[in-house]
Amino acid sequence: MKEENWSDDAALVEALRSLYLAEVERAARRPQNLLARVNGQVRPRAPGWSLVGLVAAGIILALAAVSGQLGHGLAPIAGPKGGSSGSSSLATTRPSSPGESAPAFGPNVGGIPETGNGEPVLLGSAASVAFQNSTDDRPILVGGWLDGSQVYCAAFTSTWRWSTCYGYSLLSRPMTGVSQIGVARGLSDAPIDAVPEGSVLPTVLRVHTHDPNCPSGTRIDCAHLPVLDAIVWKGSVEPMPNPDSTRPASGISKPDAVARALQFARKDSTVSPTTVSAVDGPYLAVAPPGANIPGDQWVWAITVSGSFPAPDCAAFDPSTPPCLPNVATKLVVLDYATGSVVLAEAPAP
Amino acid sequence: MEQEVIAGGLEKPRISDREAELRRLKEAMASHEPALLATARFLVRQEADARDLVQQTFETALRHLDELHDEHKLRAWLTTIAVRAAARRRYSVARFIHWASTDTSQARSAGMDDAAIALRAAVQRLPDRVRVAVLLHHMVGFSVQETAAAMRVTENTVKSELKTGLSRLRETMR
Repeated sequence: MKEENWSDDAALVEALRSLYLAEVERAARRPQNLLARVNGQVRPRAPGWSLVGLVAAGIILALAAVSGQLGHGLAPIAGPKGGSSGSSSLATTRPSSPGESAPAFGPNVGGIPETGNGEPVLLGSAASVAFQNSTDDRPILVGGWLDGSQVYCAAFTSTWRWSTCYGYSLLSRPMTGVSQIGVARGLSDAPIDAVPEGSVLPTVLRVHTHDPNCPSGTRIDCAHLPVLDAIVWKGSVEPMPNPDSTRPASGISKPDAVARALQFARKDSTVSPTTVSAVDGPYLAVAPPGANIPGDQWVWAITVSGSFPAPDCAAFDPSTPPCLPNVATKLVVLDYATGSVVLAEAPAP
Repeated sequence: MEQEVIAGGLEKPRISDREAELRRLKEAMASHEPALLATARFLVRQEADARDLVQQTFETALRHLDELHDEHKLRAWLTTIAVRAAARRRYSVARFIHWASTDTSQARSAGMDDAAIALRAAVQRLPDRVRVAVLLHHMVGFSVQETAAAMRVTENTVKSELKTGLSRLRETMR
């Protein structure tokens, strides 16, 4: 933007418009896919559905009130509310079939048992991988935290039992903004615990894929869809931890973090890098989402200025055009406890 | 049962049609993400808050998609949702995390020169209502009428805020 005569309203307005367009361009260069992140949580009400949806929802709610079958988002579930029970309990839920013994759970680490009957309890991405790799309907133990956020599944279909929106949504860590595992209810009528907003309920489910009752000929990926067998373990409802509680007892100091970041940045900067900002906090609070880093992992986020190769040049010979000009900033994210680099991005977001 | 006839002989659209319609609308919404994020960066002060705001905007929009009457006004509709959500946030409890400002570094990394960075900072220092009026009308391109509707104020109020906004910006940039 060239120097303008700011007393001229037209020039000022033009400068404002240019400033906005530059921001749009900057945002377009680094798409955040924010809609995709919302998509899994909200079932939209399509245009033209209101009346039909309302009538259908009324009928469904009436049926649910009678049978107590529907999950969160449509009607409160009858049964244990989960909200006020006291301590954690092992195998608080009945075994799913008569004669089946309650499973024995391994050590409880981080709020969820690590094993059940010797089988690993899988969380987050590990569970997703297990679903994708499954070849039959063998049981899989999946753990996570139910939370109190509302889920809307207004578009009711005959296949709702095979929709994860009507089933369980387990956070991979007890905080919002982290990945979730969706489990369909299948033919199970086990109630879903209502968890107050701002609270979490650690839970372990036994699920299976390749459900024989899952309707074929639909868009549902029956081979890999996790379907509930039974709730095999529940802890107690607890307030969602403040991210501050994840700060390690000890970690590297700010000067140390800055020194490490500068040393790292020096490797590919053509000028000596300098620090712009240094802040510590849970990863998702101080660094951009999208990386495979737990949102509550405590990190140092250090922005440095220098002259760094643009991202699209990294894989090519920088001397070969076309190549974007160097960028002036870089974000270096260090693990708070160990000081190791967990992410580096240029330009800094 | 992909299609069924309801009372009065009206046909419900096929489920596949509805899904296609939804998919198309979602794609249209996603295409407005850069403009929304750019707007959000002037509505709230921190980058993470701006992303949160856009996410909240999409969430609200998806829940109220049946209230979108004119698809050609999708961007204006989304922007209005964002403006109102931002206004609500200003009255909500303070965030528990202290955010270090990296505005200048972000602007520099976006290739902005000193004049643009100074103007950006000047806009961000405007009082909330003045800033929103300037943002919507002079930057996003809303008409005065649309700006007034989004801000839930009269057109005269918008005109007054715009006059104040330009005057303050001129003073700051002098």
